[in-house]
Amino acid sequence: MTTTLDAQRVEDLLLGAQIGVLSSASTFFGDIERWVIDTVAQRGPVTLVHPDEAASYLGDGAMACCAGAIGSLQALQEMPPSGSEPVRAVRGLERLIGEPIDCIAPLNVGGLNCLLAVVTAALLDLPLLDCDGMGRLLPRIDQTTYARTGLSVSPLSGIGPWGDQIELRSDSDRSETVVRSVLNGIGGWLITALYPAGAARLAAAGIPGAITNSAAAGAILRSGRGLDSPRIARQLGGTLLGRRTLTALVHRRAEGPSSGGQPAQPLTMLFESENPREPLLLLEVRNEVVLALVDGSVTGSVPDLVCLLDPFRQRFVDLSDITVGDVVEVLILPADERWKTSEGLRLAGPASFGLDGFGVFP
Amino acid sequence: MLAGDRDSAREVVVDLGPILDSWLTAPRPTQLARVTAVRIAPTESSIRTPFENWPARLTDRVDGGWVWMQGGVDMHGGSVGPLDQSRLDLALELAREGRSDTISIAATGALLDPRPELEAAEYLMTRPDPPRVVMAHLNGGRRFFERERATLVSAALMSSVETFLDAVTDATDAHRVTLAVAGADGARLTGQDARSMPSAMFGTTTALAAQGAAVRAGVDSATILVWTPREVRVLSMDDGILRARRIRSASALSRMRLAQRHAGQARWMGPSVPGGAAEPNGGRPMIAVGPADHQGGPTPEFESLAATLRTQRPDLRVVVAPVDELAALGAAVSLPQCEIERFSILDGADDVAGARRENLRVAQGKVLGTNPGEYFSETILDQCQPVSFLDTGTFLVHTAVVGRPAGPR
Repeated sequence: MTTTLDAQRVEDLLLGAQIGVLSSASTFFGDIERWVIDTVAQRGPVTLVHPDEAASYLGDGAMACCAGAIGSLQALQEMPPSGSEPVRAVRGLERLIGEPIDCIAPLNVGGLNCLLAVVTAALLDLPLLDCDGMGRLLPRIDQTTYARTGLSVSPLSGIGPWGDQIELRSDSDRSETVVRSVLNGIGGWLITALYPAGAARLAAAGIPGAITNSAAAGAILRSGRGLDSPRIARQLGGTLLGRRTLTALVHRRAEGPSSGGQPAQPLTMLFESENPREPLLLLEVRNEVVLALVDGSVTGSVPDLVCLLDPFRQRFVDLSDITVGDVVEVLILPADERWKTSEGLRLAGPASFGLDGFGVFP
Repeated sequence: MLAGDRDSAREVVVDLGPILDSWLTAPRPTQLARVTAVRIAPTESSIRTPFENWPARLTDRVDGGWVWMQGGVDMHGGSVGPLDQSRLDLALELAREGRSDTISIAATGALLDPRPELEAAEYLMTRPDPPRVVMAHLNGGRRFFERERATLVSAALMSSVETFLDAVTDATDAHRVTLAVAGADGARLTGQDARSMPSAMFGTTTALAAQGAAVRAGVDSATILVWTPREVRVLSMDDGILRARRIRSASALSRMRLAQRHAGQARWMGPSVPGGAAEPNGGRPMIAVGPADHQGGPTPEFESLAATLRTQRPDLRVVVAPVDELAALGAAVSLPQCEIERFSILDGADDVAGARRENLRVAQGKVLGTNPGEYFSETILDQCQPVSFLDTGTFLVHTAVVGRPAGPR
């Protein structure tokens, strides 16, 4: 069903988009989030098109692309955008493909990218497809259901913090590698338009209802019915591993290919309970949590989402904000079923993070 | 000016928070000075300009215009060439025209490399009739906008705070007692730090009242619920130190977000209060803090809440006292603290260890220098983590140190 996304629902989405995101959850919302809400409030609601209706609503020949940032949220907060990047990125992509873009889709619904897709659609007065390519946040731009069905990341157009624009055509699978190398020199982030494709095809390749579901989950978090983590776990279909205190945060330098080509170095988080009889909980982080171990046994793994909830603020915790001594709820949420196939696990399972032989599989 | 045990007092701790709150919330905030902003950033256009979304009553008073200068440092240490001094001359001109005597400088990436701010400040201060200059990296706090905003608030408060503290210092000097000022994190600052970064000192009441309540309750680790008629503010204390956060949505500033180390952890309202209070918080006991009515007893609303909480938390301790009394006690027991959060580009374990050591050295120096001989330093936070989604070797190095009394107090 075609609906609209007004500023009020964007606020729900803002909370829902933090679910399952550790690397770039905005535990403390700031000006970038406010900019998105203000833009939608000023320019009017964004039309949200369900993937099933993409062809009928947009027409057979309509073109779509994904919008989202690649790189570091901390870099984006330190060097904030000018506001023109989303439009410039899409216009650049249009030049590359020689066709106008008729609608926008989120690269991923987890974290800030969900909001960047919304603001891109709002700034361009284009409808937004109610789907995404991850159902969560995964580190690589080719770890998407779009790529899983054979769509190409490129042509890609991106704008960096200094206003530099990059345009990429790659007929091989090297887009992630090339973009990642550009990212460092360009300043730490790129706001991009990528995955250009027919709107119906892009919609069919995405996870349907991602934005609606995320906004609904955000509304649960905003519902103000008490700080009840079991209720949140139940309503989101997850498993609560319990409340723990972060007692150690250990950075280990990646050796060789153990990081699986992921753009970050390994980090281990150790959580303990006030009750010594409760088991130790250890999380392995490669940008996001990839493994959860309870007393040494793997209890959760990618592609499922292992997330940390601040029980006092009822917000998901951002890795950059957490400090030793913080108390969190550890929650495992199931990934979309598309990730549970052998091809899905190859793209987003533990092995894709250099952790062969680990993981909890259905 | 000094009353009470002025002959036996060794130090005076001032809580400027209520005064600054009243200055910031006044319909006509006449204590605030006009400020001109220099923003050093890659591009001129931005989703937020320096005074955007400020309440009109504050911009009317404070906004002395702003100048963009291309620069800043990105997350791999990249920058552009020398500073464009003509932009700084423009800022001086704007400040003169707008009658601001203070210029605030904020550069993107200054937590990785503060040189653009330092070079701009040096240029401004070597001009004839130099303005007062405030640099954002000294305020600290990740996120450019929040750091810039805190610096602008500091710059606006600086002159009035200085006048006030000068008067207090005259009195403390006359009585040969040392002067300290309490911050919103429950820590104490030196008079010099208070002068240079006044934004650290507004909105102190909750933290100091919580700290005072912990003394009254005789515990040094606790979850502390500070009740007000509108909400309950939740704080956590470990070994006498309140857990601090770095970004604040400030009620004294119409909920503007800015970088300030403060102690509030969450706000609970309605059914969230008993729901949240029932859950354990790292084994800490719970203290509920409520105001006294005119007869010294709890108000009926607070008494009702305390009764509910008692059924859930047998370890609950209830402290009922005038908030200002608790805040004064909290200020008196405050300890010097220093928190440093910065980005570093590191390569290898030796680099990481070196960056941590450097942060600790600076933080320890700051704390021990507060009042030499009075304190020994204790590290309360020492962590270093790679910045996500970057493989440039950029790390966030985060350190906090507290000064514990070296002798009996």
